[in-house]
Amino acid sequence: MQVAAVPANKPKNKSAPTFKGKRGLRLMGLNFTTDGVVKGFFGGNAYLAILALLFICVFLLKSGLGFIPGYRVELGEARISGVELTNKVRYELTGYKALLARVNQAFIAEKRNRFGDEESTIYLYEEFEALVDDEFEDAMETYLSINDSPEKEAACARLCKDIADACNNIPEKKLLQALTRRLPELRKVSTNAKDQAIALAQDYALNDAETPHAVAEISAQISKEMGNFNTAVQAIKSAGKPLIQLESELTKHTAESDRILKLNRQTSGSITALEQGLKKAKQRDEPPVIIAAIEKRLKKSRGSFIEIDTEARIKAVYQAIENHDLIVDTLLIKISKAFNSLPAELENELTNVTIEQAHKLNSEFAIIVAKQKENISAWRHDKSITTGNTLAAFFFGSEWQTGSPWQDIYGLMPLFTGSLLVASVSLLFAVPLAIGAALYVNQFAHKREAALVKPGIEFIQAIPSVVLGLFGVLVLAGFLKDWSHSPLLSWIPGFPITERLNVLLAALLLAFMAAPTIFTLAEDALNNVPKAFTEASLAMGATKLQTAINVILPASMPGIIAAIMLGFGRVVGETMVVLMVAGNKAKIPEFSEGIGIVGQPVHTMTSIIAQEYGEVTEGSLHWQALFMVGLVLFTISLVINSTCQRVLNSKNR
Amino acid sequence: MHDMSKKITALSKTTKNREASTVIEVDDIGFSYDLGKTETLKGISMEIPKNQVTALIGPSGCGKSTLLRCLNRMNDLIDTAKITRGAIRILGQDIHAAEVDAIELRKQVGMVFQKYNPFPKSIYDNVAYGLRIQGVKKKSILDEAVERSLRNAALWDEAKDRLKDSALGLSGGQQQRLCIARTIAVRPKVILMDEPCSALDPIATAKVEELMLELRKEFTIVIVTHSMQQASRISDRTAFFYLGELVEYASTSHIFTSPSVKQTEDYISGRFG
Repeated sequence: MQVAAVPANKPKNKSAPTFKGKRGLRLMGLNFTTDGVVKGFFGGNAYLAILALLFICVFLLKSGLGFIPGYRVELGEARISGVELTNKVRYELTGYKALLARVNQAFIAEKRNRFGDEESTIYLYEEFEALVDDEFEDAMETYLSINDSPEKEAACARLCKDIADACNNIPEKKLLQALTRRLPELRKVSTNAKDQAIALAQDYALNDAETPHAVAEISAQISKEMGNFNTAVQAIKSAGKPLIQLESELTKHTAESDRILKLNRQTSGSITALEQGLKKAKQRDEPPVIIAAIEKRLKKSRGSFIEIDTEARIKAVYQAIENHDLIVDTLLIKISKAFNSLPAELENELTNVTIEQAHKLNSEFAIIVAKQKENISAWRHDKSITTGNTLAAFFFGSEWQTGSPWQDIYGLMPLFTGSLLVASVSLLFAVPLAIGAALYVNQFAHKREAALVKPGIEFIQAIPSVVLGLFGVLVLAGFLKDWSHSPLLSWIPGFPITERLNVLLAALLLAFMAAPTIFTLAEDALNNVPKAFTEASLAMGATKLQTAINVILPASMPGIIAAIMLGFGRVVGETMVVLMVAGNKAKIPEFSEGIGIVGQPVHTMTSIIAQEYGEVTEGSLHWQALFMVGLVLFTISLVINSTCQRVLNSKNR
Repeated sequence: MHDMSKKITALSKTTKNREASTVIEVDDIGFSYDLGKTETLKGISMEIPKNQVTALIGPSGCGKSTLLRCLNRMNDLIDTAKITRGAIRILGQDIHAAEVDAIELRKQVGMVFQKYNPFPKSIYDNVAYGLRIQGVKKKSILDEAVERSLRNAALWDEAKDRLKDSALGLSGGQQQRLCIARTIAVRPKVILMDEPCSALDPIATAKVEELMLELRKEFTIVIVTHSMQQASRISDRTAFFYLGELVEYASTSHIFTSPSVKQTEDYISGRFG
């Protein structure tokens, strides 16, 4: 039997593995396989994101940190020129003016309360008088020319009736408009005042266009009755004159040197630039025409330096400020004297409240004065400004004032407190709402109910913030203000609210925006609690509510805290809504008002950037200041995010 | 280890032939996870005696855990679960009767789970949990209950100096004994154990087994186990389940030495399952 011969040398490549990889496309010495290219594409995307982040960080740091030396120079100029000192006096003046305005308000409130009708009568009469002059000139003449007694009587009656008709024909709205120019808070024309005014107008017409005695009498009565109050107001007003004078004197002395210093800084900047340009041009052997042109401009620039003797100028400032202590002390004494002469307790509630506020402003003013007196006596124009001073001026500065003809001030505090206040208040609303909803959906809701509620809440996130802001500013703002004045809600602390746009409004809308974020993350955290805990608790005879509160909530706490913090980050970073509804008043809110603080308008770090970026020139100090604010925002977000990570990781430990 | 199992066997023998009254009465119970379409338990009837350890054994999916979870109505948590027929009476009370509150039932019928699951709280708070949710606030009562329960669970000596530490810092066996302590702190009548030792090493297992034999003096214990040796070591009575039916239910010695049904014998001798 023949056996088929097996070929001795079977070709190896048919069966034995070679372990060779696929060869891809070779380009420029690199081997491109499909896997490699796809991997490279994904990796490239990841690194692109990191690169973009790095780029933004570097840019923020570069632009923002340039602010510090720049601001230091400006602060230095403000000190040498005395602007800084003037600011201190201005600060006092602001306090005084606020006080004066409040006293004036109290005076007007009292006057309105006591003589509202009488004042209306006078102003209405003035309107009617003009009407009579315009329309009844001929009728008046005709009437005056009649001598026959019975006929005259009839003509008199006719004229009076015509005038009354004409006056009554003026639409109520028009009258109110005319009146509210003088009496802004008037809501209705009193019929009594109107009748009286008509009688006066008739009197005026019948007596050959002579202002009736009664008008003068009413005015005299008002000023007599208000006499004491009026004297006090006038006393406070005139007492402030020396301070106002001091301020304008200081402004006069310091503004000019400040202006010159700034100009010279610009000039020296351009000189440096031109010098560098010249050097380069010479190195590059540019044609002599160009070099000559540069030299000419350099010469011109050098010539435009303005000689300034700051020492001589500052002497005048020191001289003027010498009287400061005396001026403010006298002012304080005069004010308290005027306050003492005010009637103690008045009938009108509004007057009393306003006087109370004025008293408070007065004590605040006294504190300001005491502080500024100290500051002013310690002030020296030749102490140099350190970087530390500059940083403190930025981070703890209580004023943000830009685009003013006077010195620009960049103080973060009003914006920082504004942001923090809005964010914290909004969390007060958002946290119970979101956590409660998460707990309900996760623990108690039926599956079908959860399938309805969960997407519903998450859908809130789909509302564009500008739409929410629009709703807030056009609808909710009005409602909130009206509600806050409703007597039914007056028990709520902080109500009623006087400002239309305020912290509370912004906080409510932001809470609405942050709630889905917190809800989703908190719900995840609750979901991540092992089922075993729930089972163990239920098997012990705990109810679902007991289980949720005693076991599930504590077990998911790290996740919930992280959710709240991320919600906080979201709120702090939110721009559009805050810009639209927070009121944008760059002033540290009055913490002394307690919970009423939520009724105040504030400005925030995000909205100041959105609001002012359009008006800055590239590279200017203002430009850098905005980047600095951006840097602070970025740092806050960074800290919040990394803390969240840490909190979440600690759970896994 | 060897000593331990000897000790356990000795312990179990001392009480093996005690006469006992019935605590749990399962009467032709049928149960379905999908609203009655298919039955997971197909008419099971058995009586579980007081102060004994009753083991439920059988291959995976035979319904032993399901039955256990019926006893304290843990299956109520599943929306589509349904009792299709029969009744369960504990201490004479039908536990599915309308007036029975599952919360109150579970206070009397405690449960220990397969995977030890102490709460992420301190040891003390874990043991005190059951009493606290029942509204006990007085510290002296709680202190006493915690100590007694930990002593009962043979954990007192190991834990007494670290009562305020997190329970998650204990070893696996200690955590399971803590769960037992937590369960007995509320003094239930019955303790259900769902494979309590399957996540533990042999030494921890031995300790928990020893504990069970101690505990049966005070409690009625029903245990689901996959380990035949464990069932033979600790239980007084054994029930063998297969495909949702109770194949054989008798005293442990009877089941393991001379089972009456062939299927039981095959399972015990390891021929299937």
